[in-house]
Amino acid sequence: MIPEPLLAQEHELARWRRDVPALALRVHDHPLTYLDNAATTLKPQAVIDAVTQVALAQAGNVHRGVHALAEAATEAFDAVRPQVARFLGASADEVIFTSGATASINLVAHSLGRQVVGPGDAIVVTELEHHANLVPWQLLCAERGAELRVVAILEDGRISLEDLARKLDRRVKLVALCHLSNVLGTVAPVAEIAAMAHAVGALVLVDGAQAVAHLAPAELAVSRLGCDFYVFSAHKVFGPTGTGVLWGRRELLAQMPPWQTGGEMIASVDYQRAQFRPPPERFEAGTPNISGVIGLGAALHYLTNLPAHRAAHEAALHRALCAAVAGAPGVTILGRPQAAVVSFVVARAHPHDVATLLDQRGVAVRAGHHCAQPLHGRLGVSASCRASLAYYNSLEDVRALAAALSAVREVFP
Amino acid sequence: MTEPPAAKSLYHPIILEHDRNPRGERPLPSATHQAALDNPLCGDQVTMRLRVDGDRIVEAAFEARGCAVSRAAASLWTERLTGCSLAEATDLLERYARFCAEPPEAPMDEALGELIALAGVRAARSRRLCATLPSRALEQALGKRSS
Repeated sequence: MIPEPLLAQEHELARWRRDVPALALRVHDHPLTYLDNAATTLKPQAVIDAVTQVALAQAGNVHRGVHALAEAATEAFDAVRPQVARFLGASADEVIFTSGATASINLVAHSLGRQVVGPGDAIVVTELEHHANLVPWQLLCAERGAELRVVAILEDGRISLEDLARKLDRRVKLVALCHLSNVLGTVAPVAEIAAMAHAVGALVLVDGAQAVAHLAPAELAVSRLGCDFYVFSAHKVFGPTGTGVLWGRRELLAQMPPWQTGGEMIASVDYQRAQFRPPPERFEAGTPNISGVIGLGAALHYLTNLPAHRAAHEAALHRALCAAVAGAPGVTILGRPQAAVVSFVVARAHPHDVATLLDQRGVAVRAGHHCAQPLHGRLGVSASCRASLAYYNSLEDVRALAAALSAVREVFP
Repeated sequence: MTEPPAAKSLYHPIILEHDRNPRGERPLPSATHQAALDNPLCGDQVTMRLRVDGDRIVEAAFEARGCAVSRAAASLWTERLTGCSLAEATDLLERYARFCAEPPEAPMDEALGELIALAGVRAARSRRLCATLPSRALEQALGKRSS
């Protein structure tokens, strides 16, 4: 029998929380209960310090100057690439910095997509996808005369592998799916799906935006996942906004044409033509988000130095969260969440009204369609509320949400 | 009720009452002017319809899938506009747009009547889109006759 994972000790959790200054905020005269981590995570002081340091002592541009500030920036920036590679169990030359998961997906769609997808081909996504992992493929399919196939989910929110098998054939060039659903909190069996896709010659892109802050390191190792591309955003893993990562298999990246072009990505240029550098630089035109990347490095350093049981703490808390939400009056949970998030609707109260009333008690949740409008249509609701965890959340947070949900009933009986 | 003051002001009793018992929530086949608008944040939708006779709005109705704030606003507008001239309606819509954008402490524009029950959105920036969805639909409706 697997031992029941335990919540972190109170003093340890208090230390984790002290490291994240925003958690000490008061909102509408209540202590902040931050349960909107799937939208963006709060930043540890170490990340804030790293970003500040860039603006002060590392204020030069990277890979250009020979002066001290430029060298300091370059050194700090370049140290992050191998760090991200270690985080994903990959090689540094396979790590591309982008402006976020959305840009990473668009890069693959525009570069590899135009290269491998032709008329009559197909791309496969799932009903779970965030607009960022749906719309780029819609546009690519429209442009290339290809077909977009959408794999159904089961009632509990997991991907139907039977339906996937039905939708896979030799015409499918790429399967794009989320690792952890931002609405239903289900975790995709990526290794199994990748094996199925590879069997018909399709590549696999995994949107890891929600997964990176929650899953254990072994579950994020791209070699074990067996995917071909993995993308995520820094700000959903305790780093700054405006920065993200595209990991791609070396042999694929080597054959892909650049998407955006300009400085930094060229080997040599004359007035008529340019030679491009190898990956990763080929895909990083222009001055990068230097402080964003260095902030991401600080965030990953902080996260990976937390004790391993932070994942068990969060998993235990997620069970408590789901139980508390399920027990609140008039509440229905969407699907059967497995990690990090729980989305729900409240009878006779619109999600926006619920979220406003929760906010009045200092409880931050998301309301709306969470950039997954087709999924909400599939579930038969126009919108929902979503509470989402990070390792720094506490049982107190769960209790505050439960109490606030009970109070919603008073306004919308 | 144990509502803190700020929530009380966004969910003014008039808002909750109009949400529960909306006026004018029905189709209006005889409408001369209509427009539908979406709130891209939540997928909510409101359709406002008017029947204009000469220079006067003689009937107003709405259909909405939305939150209490947007539904109450739609309901309040159907009441407020019925009987107004087109010039009065345009003036009220302009006043309301200004009213919603003003800071919470700004004085109330009494010409708006019961619509000032929506004043809570002036302190809840993210909800202004909800409160103004019906009025923005009305602005569109008045800008074009329905076909």
